[in-house]
Amino acid sequence: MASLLLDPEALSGKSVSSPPSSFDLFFDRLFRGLALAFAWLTVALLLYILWEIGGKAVPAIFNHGFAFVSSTTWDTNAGQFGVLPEIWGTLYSSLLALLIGGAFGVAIAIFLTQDFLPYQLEVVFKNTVELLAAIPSVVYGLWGIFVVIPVIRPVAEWLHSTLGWIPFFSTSLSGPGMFPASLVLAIMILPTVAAISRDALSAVPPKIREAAYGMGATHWEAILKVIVPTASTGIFGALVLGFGRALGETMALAMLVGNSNQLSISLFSPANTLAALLALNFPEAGDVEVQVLMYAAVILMAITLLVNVCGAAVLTYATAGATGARK
Amino acid sequence: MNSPDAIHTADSTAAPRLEKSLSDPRTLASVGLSVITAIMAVIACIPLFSVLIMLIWRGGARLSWQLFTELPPTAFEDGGGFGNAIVGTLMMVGIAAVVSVPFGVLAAVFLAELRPDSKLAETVRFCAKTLTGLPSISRGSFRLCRRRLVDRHVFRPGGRRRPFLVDVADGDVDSGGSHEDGAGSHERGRLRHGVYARPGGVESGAAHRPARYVDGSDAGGGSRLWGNGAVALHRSL
Repeated sequence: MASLLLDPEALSGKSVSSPPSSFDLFFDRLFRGLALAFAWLTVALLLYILWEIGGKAVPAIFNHGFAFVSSTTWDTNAGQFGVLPEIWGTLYSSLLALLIGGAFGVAIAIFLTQDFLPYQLEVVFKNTVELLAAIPSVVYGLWGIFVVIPVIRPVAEWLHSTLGWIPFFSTSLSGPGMFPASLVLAIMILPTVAAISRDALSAVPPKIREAAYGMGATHWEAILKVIVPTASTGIFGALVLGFGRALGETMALAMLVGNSNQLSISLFSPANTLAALLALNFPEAGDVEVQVLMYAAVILMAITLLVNVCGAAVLTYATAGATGARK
Repeated sequence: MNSPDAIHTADSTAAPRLEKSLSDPRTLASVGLSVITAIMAVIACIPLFSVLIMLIWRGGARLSWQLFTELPPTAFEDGGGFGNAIVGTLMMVGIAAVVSVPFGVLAAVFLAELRPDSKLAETVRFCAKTLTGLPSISRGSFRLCRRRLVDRHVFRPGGRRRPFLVDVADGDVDSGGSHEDGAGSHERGRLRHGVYARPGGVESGAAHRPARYVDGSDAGGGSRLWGNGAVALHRSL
């Protein structure tokens, strides 16, 4: 430094720093422009997809109107199409999956962030749970057929025979059905929920936790009354994202849900979901059926969009009051 | 006053009980919840091992070198493998990465560096989230309708680079190319893969890099944007 200051060349105006060259400026502008363009493209892409699928669905929307959403028959030969059972199945399976996967995901997130384990073990657990996300959907489908259904069948039979008066257990499990599908779906969304909740929980400043201990709280009093409420917006975001994933999950559900057009609250009866309907009917669909399936795709996207918008709205509403507790 | 008895009584009444005891409901609740959480975490790890064991048990016997190199057998023939599928997967993943990485990374730089608080950034974040939630089957129907495919990018808010792998695998299943014949379907399938293979969390990665690197890059005389972008990218990798 001293030598630089005393250097006669540096003193005479020649310094190590220089204004950006014209190439630098050009590159700068190019980089900025590209980033802006790709940001806009993201928006354009979503609009384009909506427009494209919506456009294909227009004839079916005019032909079938609201009856499509409220009727329960799907008969290609008679030209009767209704997706009420599929809408019900989609929402029901996703909600069940969110209940199971959400509970486990948040529990794992707490377990991995609140000093229950030595650091090395934490890493092992974290990686194991994240590896669940690396299993392809179709392998989950196979696993459901070969492992999950045989394992839960005796339990389901017992529940049906002893507690059959409860609507949830009112039918017997004949193989594929709502419960095995939801169970596998829960496992599929578990890594998403766990990873994002974990981020939210570890973003809670240690000071807050230490203050809670200092006030005499036990480990779990601190977690449940201080840390989880502080991280609640992040955890809520994780649940919304998990729900979104569950709504659109296709392959495992197509293999496990039973593909039966019926409305039933029973956990063990076969059902159907919108995504499974699309996956199974597209390959053999004729022109008319393709339009109808596009209508179904529009409904599925509308549900997904609604969930996202509601999630975003709740997040904005929740963070508006407590700007300090973001994430 | 100073008799040992007096000291003893003062001790037993005034001094707080410092050791934990399970008979205290608060401690009991705490320990109970810890045990339940630990059990839940262990249960959550079971599916992974169950899937692995199932795959090895059911498919392990057929594992051999020719499985990876040969073509699938024709009907009524033994042997063969799925070498073509492996090559196809690798090509798809490669092309998908080439198409999607610049898209995702540049949009992420925009979100994290250029104008993080602008209306556009908010819109883009919302669209990216929606695209993530968009059912893969709708993307498939989109492809089915539109024979040429425009690429699209998906961020995983809060995700890691992990979804890269996940989504490629995911896309494999329902890429739909298998339902069509001809070379064109392969091409479309590959392009469609670009939709999935956004390395997730680029935005969160870029947003989490320490600000001092960017400041340092400014101080170092780097032109503002290029310096920031390059340093931020480097850090978030």
